[in-house]
Amino acid sequence: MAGSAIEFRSVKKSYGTHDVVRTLDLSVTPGEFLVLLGPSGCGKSTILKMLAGIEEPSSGEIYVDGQLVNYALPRDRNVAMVFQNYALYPHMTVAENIAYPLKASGRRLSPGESRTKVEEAAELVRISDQLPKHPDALSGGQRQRVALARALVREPAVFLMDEPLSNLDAQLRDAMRHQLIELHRRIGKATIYVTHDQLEAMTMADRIIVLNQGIIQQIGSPRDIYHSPANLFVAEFIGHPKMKFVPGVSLGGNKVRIGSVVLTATSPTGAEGQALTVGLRPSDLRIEGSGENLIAGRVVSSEFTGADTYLTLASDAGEAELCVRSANANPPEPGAALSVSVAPQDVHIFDADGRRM
Amino acid sequence: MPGTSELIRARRRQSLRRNLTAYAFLAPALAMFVLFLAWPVVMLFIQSFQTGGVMGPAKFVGLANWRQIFSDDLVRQTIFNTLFYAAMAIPAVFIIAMVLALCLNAIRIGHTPIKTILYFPTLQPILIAALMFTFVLHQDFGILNILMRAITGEPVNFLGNASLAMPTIAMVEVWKGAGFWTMLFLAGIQGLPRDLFHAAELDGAGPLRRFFELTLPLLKPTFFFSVVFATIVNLQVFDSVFVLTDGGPANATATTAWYIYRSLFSFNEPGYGATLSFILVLVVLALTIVQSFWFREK
Repeated sequence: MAGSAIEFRSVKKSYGTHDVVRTLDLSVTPGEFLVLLGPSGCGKSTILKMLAGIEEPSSGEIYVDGQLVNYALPRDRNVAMVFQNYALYPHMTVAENIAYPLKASGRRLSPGESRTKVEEAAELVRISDQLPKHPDALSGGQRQRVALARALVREPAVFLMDEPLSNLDAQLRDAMRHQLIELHRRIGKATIYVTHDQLEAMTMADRIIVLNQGIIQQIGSPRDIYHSPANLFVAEFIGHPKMKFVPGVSLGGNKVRIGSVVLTATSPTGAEGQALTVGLRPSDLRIEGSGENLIAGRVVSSEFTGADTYLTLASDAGEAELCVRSANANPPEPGAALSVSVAPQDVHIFDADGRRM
Repeated sequence: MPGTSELIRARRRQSLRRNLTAYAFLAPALAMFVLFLAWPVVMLFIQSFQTGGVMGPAKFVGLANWRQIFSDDLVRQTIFNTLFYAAMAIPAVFIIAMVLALCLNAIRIGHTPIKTILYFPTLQPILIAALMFTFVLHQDFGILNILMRAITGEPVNFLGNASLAMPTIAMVEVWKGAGFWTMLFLAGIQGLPRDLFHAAELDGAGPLRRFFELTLPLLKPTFFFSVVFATIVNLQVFDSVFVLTDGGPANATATTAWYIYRSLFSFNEPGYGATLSFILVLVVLALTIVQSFWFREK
């Protein structure tokens, strides 16, 4: 595709008979922040490593800035990578770590030029005061910044980040997430970011690719993926607490029956009598709703999480329990009767193969 | 709620229990150390002031053995020979083993049989290896000399030539030791984080740069152990000398350990041999301490 920063054409990766990545076709536009999201072992890191040149694809073509890079050495691909465990050189100081790409790539820079570039990169990630230290004297967050500075100093066409925040504690992860977004805005280079954390994916990505078992499940903006999951896997993987699934039967048109409840959806539900799965997000169920799409039930248990309380509901929508979010300071107690309603656009219908209808 | 003194007593009891457990586990190793290392060294020190003691009772001779060492030309010769041998054997075996380890690390399939073959010489008793090499090096029918004759037309007297004998012994020891050091270095290399090397590759470092700027510095702990261990072992080189040359020709391969053995069992000078042994212990100890400081500073 013309103008793509990165392009994968029918790329596959197998280890023996085990397919890790199956037929990947993808293009990333310049400046885009693309997140590869999926559970462990879904092939997301392998995709990154194939692009970096650390792993060789079994078949297919990979392009960076329009150049075929399948046979190029990692250093010739014009990509920089930030590793999950930072991969800092432990025997070098922070300044030496950041300067290493300038030295190793054989760029003819004077010591002064090199120092300036190192200082600029360090300044960008706010570690200028750590330059003389060794990595083992730094905190996890500071090490992460050094790894970022080392990637930045090369001024590559593409940034690759392999779960860069997963070793940080929750508070630091939040702070670093915001800084990474800000940094990406300033640098404006195409970035592929691998994570299994949906919060990172939703908050950082221009586009998300959800992967499972080496197959792309869905590509879309965070909103698309949240509001219109392409299949049961994406619907279950995205969102916290998870979407609840209830078996249903199509009544034709836009109507579906779950248990003794009839719901109206915005999408057609297929032929009458067809077995379906109905997905309902806890955040989409409105307490004390009325009128259409009303489900009556009883609170089984409640889970206080701070701002919200999640109520588990046994309902007339079948045997499967539903989950409802309550922002009320005094939510109903277990045993209390509770009716909830759901808007037609929030009724997610999946066919027998688990595909969205 | 217990009082302060009761708490202190309980803490002391707990601490004592913990210490006793630790000492109980350490006791067998400590007993072995005292019995087989510390006590023999003390005995050596005592014997260094004695003469005789094998056929008849030992006799106190004061500092005679120590004085003799400083006037004995053969002691100087054996020290020089031992250092000469170590200076050849240790770097040679390290370089060869490192190259082999790097090659093995690069091979993805089929490295197990190669490792087995490489390690095989290490498993051989040195006496058998040395005897085997007497055939390999034999001037008339040794395979190496058959090759030499084919190349140069002249056989080479590897073990009979004073300038070749020690390098030849070093070669045998390198051949025998290379497998062990290869496995050690390979384990060290494979224990290094792979991501560091991937990062270096992406940073633009070629194989040589990765080796000199990453592998070698990161293997420092392995090297520390290797240098100390190799020094200790090689300063005591004896078996191959004993079998291949018995110190000859003209004491060209007479090493300190060989001289200690000869003093004790051939020259009937156990006191002198004990003095030499004690000095060797001190030298090895001093070198180990110096090396450990050097590596710590580096």
